[in-house]
Amino acid sequence: MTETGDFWDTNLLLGYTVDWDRLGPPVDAYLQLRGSHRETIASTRVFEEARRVVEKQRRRARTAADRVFEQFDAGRHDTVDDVKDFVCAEFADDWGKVGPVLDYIDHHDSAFLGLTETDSERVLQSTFEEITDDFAEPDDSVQRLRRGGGALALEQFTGGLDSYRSEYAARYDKLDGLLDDTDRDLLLDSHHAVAVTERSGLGFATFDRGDIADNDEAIEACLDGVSVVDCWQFS
Amino acid sequence: MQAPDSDLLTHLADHVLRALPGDPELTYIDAQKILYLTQKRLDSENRVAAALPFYWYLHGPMSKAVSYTLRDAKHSGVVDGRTTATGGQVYTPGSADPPAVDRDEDVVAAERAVEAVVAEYDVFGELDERLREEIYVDAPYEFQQYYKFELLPAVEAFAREPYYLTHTPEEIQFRLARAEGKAPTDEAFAEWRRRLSRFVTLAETYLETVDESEKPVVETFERLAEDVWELFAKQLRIEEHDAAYADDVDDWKLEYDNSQQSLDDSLRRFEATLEEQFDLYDAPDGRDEQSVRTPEESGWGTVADSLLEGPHRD
Repeated sequence: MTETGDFWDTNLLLGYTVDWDRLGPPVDAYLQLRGSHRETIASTRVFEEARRVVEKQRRRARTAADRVFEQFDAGRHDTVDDVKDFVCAEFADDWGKVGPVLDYIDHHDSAFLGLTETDSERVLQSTFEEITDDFAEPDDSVQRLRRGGGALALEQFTGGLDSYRSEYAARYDKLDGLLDDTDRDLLLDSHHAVAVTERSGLGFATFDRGDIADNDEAIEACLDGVSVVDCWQFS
Repeated sequence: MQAPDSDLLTHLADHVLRALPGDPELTYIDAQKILYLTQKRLDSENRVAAALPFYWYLHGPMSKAVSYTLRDAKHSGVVDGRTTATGGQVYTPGSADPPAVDRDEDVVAAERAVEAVVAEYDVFGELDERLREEIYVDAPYEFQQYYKFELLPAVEAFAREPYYLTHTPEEIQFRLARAEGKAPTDEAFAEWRRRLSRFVTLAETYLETVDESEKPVVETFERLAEDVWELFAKQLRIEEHDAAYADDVDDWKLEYDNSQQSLDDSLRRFEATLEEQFDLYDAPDGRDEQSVRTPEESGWGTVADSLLEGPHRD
């Protein structure tokens, strides 16, 4: 199969919105060795999912700030670790949910510590404004990429279906047993993009090893025209 | 829900009207709330309490049994009713006698409970005040109190005022952010949470662009804030209802799905309107690829690092 381009997964799109040392190299390595030499596309569903991820993390940061402000039982020598322990418990120690929030608190430790020491809504409002600014930036980046802004030409594939249950019933059922709903539909978007356009094939470019790259053989056997590209291989 | 014990509840509704002070006039919402508070005071084995199943909805606990009873009592002349200018119902005592019921121990206890509730329930004050003080203390989620009593009235005032008299865009943004932070975290509300956050994203964009002299499409913004609340209430009643409503849940889920679709369409239209009116997402002149990439110190860098593998998990 000849891949004429790469279909970007959500994690690659979100990784691209950040320009710093830990995320920059893996994304840039992919771009230098592969992505910049070929057409890159993402479906409407990828852009929507990226936006949802940003919104979800913003919501959790706000939940943490609101609960620290309202419910944290302040002592005289509280540290940021005390605040993080409290937030961890508030999120029922669900690491998948609370991990990014704890990282975020590290980044704004003085603001979160400040919330433990005050009843002033002005202070909370100030912290919320910082959160708003932090999360508006990636949302703006995703929206500009979607509309052709920036140096990277990331085409939006708008022909995806709301549901692939009937259009690709057998493939849908196979992937349904292998992946969660979002990954299933993103992969079917890439397959559908091949099916309805002149492309002979697409690489599904992803940083998701656990769910997608490690299942590449099963996915490729199910979706003709799609090959899984593990973007970590370029680092 | 099965047909209510009509005679029993009509007797009780008549008792509520006669227990009210002065010239009794009772709104539909107050009738619901007084009978909710009455039910709360009764033993669970009391047959009157068993005849009053409730579910949480837009304005707090509601009961179809109360709704059907008032409709039937109006039809039979036990209560008089008129429709207000805003479409609500107001009830007064009717000319017909209520049906005779066996005034056993349970019914007498319910009558005493009605009298105690009415003595404490301030029907002459502000509706939101009594809902907040008497009813929403029982609300399953803190979010309900905040959105209904802190956010929605502020959005309404903001939309109606020609200038920023009581609420600035920054203050509305703060309330929106706080409402988002208080959103229920239960899995049952996952789909609704997505809509809330999308509304908040668009609303923040909108509020960044309005100025004091011009607030275009503010009615749409206000309507969306109400629609988000209504969709929440439709999920809430699926989650928070007495057992008597088990057979209603499938219909409620269909209603929720339809409303969710409608809200999605409205949010898309709102975003398209914002793009048309405010030139959103245009990069400043002279900025290159870096313009879509944010630095580590933005805070997003820290969060995104945790998300690079598998950002889809809820």
